[in-house]
Amino acid sequence: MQKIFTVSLAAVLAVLTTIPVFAQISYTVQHQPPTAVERGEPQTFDFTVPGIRVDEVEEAFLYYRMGGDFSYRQERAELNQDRFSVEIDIPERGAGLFEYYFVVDLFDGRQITYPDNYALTEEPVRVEVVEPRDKKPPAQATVGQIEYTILSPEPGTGLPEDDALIALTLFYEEESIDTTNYPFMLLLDDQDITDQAKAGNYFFSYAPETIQPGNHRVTLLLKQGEGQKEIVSWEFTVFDPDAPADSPVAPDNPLYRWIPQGRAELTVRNQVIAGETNDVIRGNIQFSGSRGNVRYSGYGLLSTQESSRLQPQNRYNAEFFVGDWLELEAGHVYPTMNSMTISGRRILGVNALTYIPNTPLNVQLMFGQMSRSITNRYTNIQPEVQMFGGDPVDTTYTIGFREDGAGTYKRKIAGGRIGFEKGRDIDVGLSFLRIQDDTTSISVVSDFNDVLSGQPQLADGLNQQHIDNLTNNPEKLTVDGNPVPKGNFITSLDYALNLKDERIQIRGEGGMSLFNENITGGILTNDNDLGVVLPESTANLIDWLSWLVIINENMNVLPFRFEVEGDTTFARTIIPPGILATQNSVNLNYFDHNAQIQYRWVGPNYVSLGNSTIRRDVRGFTLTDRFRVLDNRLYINITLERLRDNLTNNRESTTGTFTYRSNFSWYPVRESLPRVSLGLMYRKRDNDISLTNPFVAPELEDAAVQNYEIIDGTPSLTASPRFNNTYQIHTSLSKEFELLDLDHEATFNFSHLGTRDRVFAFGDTRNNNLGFSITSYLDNIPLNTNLSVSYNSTETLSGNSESDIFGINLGGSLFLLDEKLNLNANLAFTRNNFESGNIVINENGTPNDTSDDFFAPETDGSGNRVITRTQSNLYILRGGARYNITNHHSVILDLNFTNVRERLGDIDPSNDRILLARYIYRL
Amino acid sequence: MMHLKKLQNTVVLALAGILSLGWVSAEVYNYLNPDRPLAYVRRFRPDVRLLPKNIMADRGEPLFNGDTLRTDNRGYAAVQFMDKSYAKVKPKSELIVRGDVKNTNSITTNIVLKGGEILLEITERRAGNEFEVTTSTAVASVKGTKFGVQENSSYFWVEEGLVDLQSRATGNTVQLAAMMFGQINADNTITTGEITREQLLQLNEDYESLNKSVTDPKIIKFRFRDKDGEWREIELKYYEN
Repeated sequence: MQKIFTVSLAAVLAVLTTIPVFAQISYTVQHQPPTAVERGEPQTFDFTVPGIRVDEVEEAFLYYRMGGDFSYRQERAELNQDRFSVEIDIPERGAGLFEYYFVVDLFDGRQITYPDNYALTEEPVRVEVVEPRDKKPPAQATVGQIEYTILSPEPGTGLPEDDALIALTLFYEEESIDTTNYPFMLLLDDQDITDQAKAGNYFFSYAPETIQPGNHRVTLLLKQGEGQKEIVSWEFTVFDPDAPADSPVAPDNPLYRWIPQGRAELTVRNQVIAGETNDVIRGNIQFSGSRGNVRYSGYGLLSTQESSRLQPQNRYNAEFFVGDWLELEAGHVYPTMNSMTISGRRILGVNALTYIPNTPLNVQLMFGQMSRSITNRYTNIQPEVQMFGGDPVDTTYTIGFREDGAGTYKRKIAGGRIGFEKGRDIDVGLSFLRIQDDTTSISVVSDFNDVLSGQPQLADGLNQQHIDNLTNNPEKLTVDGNPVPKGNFITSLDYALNLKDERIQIRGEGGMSLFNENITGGILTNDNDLGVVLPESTANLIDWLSWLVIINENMNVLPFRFEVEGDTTFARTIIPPGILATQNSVNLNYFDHNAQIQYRWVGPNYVSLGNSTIRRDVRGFTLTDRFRVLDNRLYINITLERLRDNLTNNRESTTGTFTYRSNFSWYPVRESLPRVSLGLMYRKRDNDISLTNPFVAPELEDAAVQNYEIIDGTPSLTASPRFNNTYQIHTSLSKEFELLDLDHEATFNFSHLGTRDRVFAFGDTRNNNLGFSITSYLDNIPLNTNLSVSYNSTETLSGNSESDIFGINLGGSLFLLDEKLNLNANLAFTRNNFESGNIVINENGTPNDTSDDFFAPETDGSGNRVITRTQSNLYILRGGARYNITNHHSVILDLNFTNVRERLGDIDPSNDRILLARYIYRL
Repeated sequence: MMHLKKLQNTVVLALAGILSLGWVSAEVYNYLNPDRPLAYVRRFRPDVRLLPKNIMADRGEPLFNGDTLRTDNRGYAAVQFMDKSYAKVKPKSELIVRGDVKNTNSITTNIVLKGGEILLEITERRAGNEFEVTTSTAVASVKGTKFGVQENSSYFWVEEGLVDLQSRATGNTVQLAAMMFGQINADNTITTGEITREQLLQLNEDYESLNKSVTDPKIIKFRFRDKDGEWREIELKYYEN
């Protein structure tokens, strides 16, 4: 009987879906958040964007953090057809919530996100982190509960034939595994050798009488009913001491020693989108190997999508590790120092970390570029004659960009961290990061002199009079949209202390950032536009710091204090508080509670170009308690947070945010019981500004454009009030069960998010989301099926815009020929309804007086609301096959057919198709 | 009053008896059900005998709490422990393996060297993991090191790391660092000093040659022709000493 292959089709469940009208206008992301994630285990996140075109996607990232962390890490998602996948190793440490959001960057500058809300970083998806669970009843433990030590041979090493001995030992709680009914199996090269081995419950050894020279694989499995779970698998090599030196199994053959594992792929894609044909060829190779304590890996990707007008589409990197003292990465790498500086941002360069032997010190260095230069492609100069009273009075000249012609500076990055680490108890690091655009990397036209000196062809078409005019007045040429070079320097200190066997964890980071929004003019000198005098000490300091960051009048906050002495104003350097940031937390793990108190203070001017996810201008406390009850099956997570902005009093008002959040997750050990999660959130935002506008009717006060305060009986313009309440409830339930001799895995989820605005008539929002999916595994046929249904309803602008989306997806996967052939098919349907109304300013019959203006829904001449309606159906048919020719060769074919039908209007339906063929070779 | 005291004594005795019985039972149970080995024979050269099973050692043979490994005049064994530490056992040596393994963070190992000489390569100690070597005169506590012990002369030498050496008779302890030796004298005092690189090479020399000489048994194949004229093959294994 063929085994049932229980890899399901990725659950495709419409959660938030908008229509791709002709697959060109707007996309949103379908995603099924997991009920919980397991600490220390890998978790795959799938995001489907129906109808998205692969050639539209520049990059996609999953941003994630453990609850309470200062900022997010990012992991690049791989796109296959219209599904993005990314695997994350859930961190071992940290609070009890895993938070994430997903962003797809399109080449046209748009972003598609999940969740589809306005404040991704504040309202990410939150999932409970639980301890690894048993996959079966308690008699069978999961791999996560079993620790092992490979005693012999060391993975990836070689040894002579007569010394080949396999040995490993296991560590687990005796009562957690019923080894009588669910024994371990030891395999050598996929052959069961348990009976020949000296096998106990905790120790296995096997000394083969003969073993062929070459590569071998050892696998330890835990039987689980009809199936089995891999505990560990590793490879080693047997030398043949008599083999010729150039033989792959000769002990001294250097090539042999470094033989890698890996795979190579060639993908050819043909797509017809909106009648336009586009072919893409991509090839990639990845490999890794090790010998002794040396490990290496490499990755390369070549694509016909590579273009000098884009950031690199071809990617490559290499990694090299030696023991536990050297880590070296080069190419496209994703370095992390700490969340204050850089945390997983891609660069092209080198990232190296070394632990200095016999000392607690380690040093990390990185350098490279965050973006490469893309030249500006300008249009020719366009003269425009200015008329006054029918007579020409002047001529202005403009220059623009051709399509996709805006360029980018090369952005260089260099940084380092010196760390002091003592076991797991102490980790302190001092980091520096310099990021600066290379102003010489591209040619920029700012005035006509730049045209004459660098790109005279841009003046083609101008007559001599225009040229003379511009030559005499080069500043008459205006250029809009030139890229602006920036500079950034950050220094930070991070620390982590673990006390009392990690029951007390103290962590923190503090940093200072200098950010220059335009470094074109170089450093500030006494010949400056500010009209200030730089004392010699200040000028020397600015000059000395120029190798780190260019300080001039374009800093996001000027690091000067101005002192007037007579007729002269002196600029003396200071450290503005707004460029500072710190976050500190204490975790206490006592009495089965994991409590955390956290304080953060992030100035409004703290900027790191290496980490765009830092929330700025915020200070306050967050208290979190996480505990388990009911025999550790019910996880409860309660968070109270009080934050305020306006740290440097540079705003008209200060907004306070109070948040209460709780999560209850029933996560039983037995898989036969359902997993249930319930989350509640309440948030109040208030800036203590009263809603007042005496110039509008009282019933329109909450729609008024301007707000006033009454001082001594006189209305005075003041900040807009802010006062709203947000409620969120989300619940999910997943269950595995048997019905009609089939195994099923069902998931149901519901969420509601609503905001009630107390001071703005059009500030209410509401979103309801309902989803259900079921995956079924047939016993007698190697087939699994998936059905998912979803409904999403959203109202914004207090009901002036509405969307309703209904989606259904049916798919199946069949395994044939001893699982060598996999056939899969998927049919998805989405019905979308949109009603969109604009809010416009009503001048209240007094166009010259703005004090009584108010917001109102847009109406036509008859007083009827102007509503834009869109209704469409989206059909996606996807089919594919994968054939594993041998263990080394596989072929994959995928066909995706998309049809969009507009139910309103007379727009012709669009039929798009994508055909993809892929060949995989495994080394 | 007398009754009260008698009752008190009875209770104390009963408690002591119960505790003793429990302890003895646990030890007996553990002895009879040695489920988790503490070490195994990684390499060997005959003859190496394992007691109390009284069997010849084999590659991969597990050693449980209380097992004795004895090498004869030409015997040699390399024993690997569950924390990947190694003990190389010279000819004419005898050691008893004791200890307890709970998890990777709690491995207690005690080698009782009753005679002969061993060289140890101990992996770096995690908190909770202990490794001791006991001879008739001393106890050596190890903190991640490479060191050797000659039981007959009560001589300890350290190549890497640190060893706390305690005289069993006096309780005095000295710490031996890399390239030092310690010796328990007849009066149970401890003499310490430095060893030279040449001395170290000399001490280790035997182990290297012993370890290199260890292989699987050689095989001799005999071919016979039976009465039907067909060839038959018999393999005989033997060790070269």
